[in-house]
Amino acid sequence: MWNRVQEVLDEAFARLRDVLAADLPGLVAMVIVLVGAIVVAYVVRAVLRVALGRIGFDRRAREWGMTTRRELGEAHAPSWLVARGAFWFIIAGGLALALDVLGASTVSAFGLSLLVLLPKLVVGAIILLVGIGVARFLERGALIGAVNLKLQQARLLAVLVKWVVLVLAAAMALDQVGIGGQLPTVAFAIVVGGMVLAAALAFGLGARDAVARSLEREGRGDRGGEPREEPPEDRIQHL
Amino acid sequence: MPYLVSVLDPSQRASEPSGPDVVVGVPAEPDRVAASGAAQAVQSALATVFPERAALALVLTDDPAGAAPPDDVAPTRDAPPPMVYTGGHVGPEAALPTLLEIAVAREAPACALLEPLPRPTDPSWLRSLFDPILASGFDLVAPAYTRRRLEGVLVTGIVYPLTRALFGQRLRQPLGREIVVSRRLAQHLLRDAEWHADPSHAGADLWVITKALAHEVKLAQVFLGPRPVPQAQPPSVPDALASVVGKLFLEMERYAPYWQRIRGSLPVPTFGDERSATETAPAPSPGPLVEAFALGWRDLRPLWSTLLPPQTLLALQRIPREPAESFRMPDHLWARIVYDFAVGWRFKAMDRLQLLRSMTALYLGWVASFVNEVAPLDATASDTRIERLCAAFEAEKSYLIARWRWPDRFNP
Repeated sequence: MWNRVQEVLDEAFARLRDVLAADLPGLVAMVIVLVGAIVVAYVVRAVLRVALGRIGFDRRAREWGMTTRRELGEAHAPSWLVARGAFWFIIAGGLALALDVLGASTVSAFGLSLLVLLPKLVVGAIILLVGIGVARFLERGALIGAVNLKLQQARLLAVLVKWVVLVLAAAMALDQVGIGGQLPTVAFAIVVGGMVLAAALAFGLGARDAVARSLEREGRGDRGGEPREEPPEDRIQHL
Repeated sequence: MPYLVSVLDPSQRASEPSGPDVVVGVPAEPDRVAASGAAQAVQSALATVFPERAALALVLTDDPAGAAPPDDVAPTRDAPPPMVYTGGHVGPEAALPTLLEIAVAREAPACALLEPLPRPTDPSWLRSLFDPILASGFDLVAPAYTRRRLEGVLVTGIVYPLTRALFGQRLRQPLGREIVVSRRLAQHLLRDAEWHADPSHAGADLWVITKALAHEVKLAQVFLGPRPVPQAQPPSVPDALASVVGKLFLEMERYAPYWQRIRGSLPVPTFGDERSATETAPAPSPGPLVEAFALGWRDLRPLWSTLLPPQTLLALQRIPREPAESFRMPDHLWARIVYDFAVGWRFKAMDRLQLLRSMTALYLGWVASFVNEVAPLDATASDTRIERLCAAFEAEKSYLIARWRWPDRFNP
């Protein structure tokens, strides 16, 4: 009986040896790829932090309105966020590559699909980030311009501008990533179309009386004939 | 440019009397006809007030087609003044460097850039402009005009107090587009590298004035009485504010090491009557101005909070808006606001153009306060009121210096 046990054990160890002989190189390669990815990720993060600091990335992001607070913790500074994004992108890429190197069919397929998706995700994230920056910049410009024109609905106008750009950026990002097929484009068209219609209706209804008065004046033919009283602030010479 | 060369070359002027010249340039743009007429009048006046000097009046144009060949550029009483092309220089201020080149080449002791305005028939105004340089040894004369209390409000509220506090000299109208310079200053200005480095800014009125102030050039101001025609006003207050204040902040940044050493201010030698003109029209209602300020406070406060410290925001919040006639913005508060915007501009707290344009509502609030305060005052009392504002800017300069050096550490 002990001979039989010995044989079974020998067979088991032989199978284990064969499995190890077959899979160990893949495992070692996976570990090497993972460790390499981690090292590269740390190096890239450090280089990005220094480089972005040198080119004044945080200041530019503040100018563009991507950050508004004067006092941001270091961990929340835009350059830090970009560096951390790059770090995790490389880790994820290394993981996908490691799974592919391992060679197991299911795991490899997952790794390959992850490798294909990652660049799209990154481009989508960049589109979204730039969109957020542009949206906030245009929102601020619209707000200041509208206040200087003494429009009572300045904030509403600015928010509208911001959301149109944000929705456009989100639609472009989703389209880039390939999520939702044609849905983002259609949704964007519907949202923007709805906004324009709402704005047109609001303007039309709100300005109905003013337009009526203007048309009435046109009909009477007294366009510009009646001397208008000079607005009080026009009597002030600024230069 | 052969035309320009012949103007520059003294050997081309065989028929002229010998001796130094006085050169006056009148920019042709935007109204060439007015410029020609003004240059002709100046030429006649020069012949009257400087019979012993070979004085020359020129029209400076940026249109090469309009520059006639100046076969004889010698000053005469009847011939039209030569039109000289400013093609060697680019930008809106190309007339000044061209004039300076001509004046330096002719070894003129003084030259002037004057606007094409209708002038008094008595030509003594021209002598009063040149005398400080020709007879008293000044290097720069800033012509100025008597103004009413609500004329040049942007100059009164920001440009004058700020340049005075920064550079320590009480030059009342630093934005004047006219200027008279000595040969020494003309040579100094021509050597400046900014003509090539920043042609869009070099030569602008504020550029010359701040350069003269920062280099402690001997300068004077000459009051010529009321302006013959009103100053052209900008179509948009935010644009004018952004343009003027932007230039001022740029000069402020350039000369920061200089102005941080200056304390107080000294009067600039003044010729002519400096007092404000008597106001005849009633003061406008401050209501729309206060409304503009209130709208800005409601909608732009989050933006302002990135530039203004909480103490300033609190002080703005406490100003009662109603009735509009009692609206007052304290001088020290206004001075701090201007200084805070300058610091924000320097450190690019946001896009610079947006920053400057966002100041409009605050400026209109100050204008409302100023209108309310000077409405019942006569000319002398208005001048005293402006003097108090300038004193506040000077008193708050230590605040500016602290914030300029340590914007985050010094944040009251």
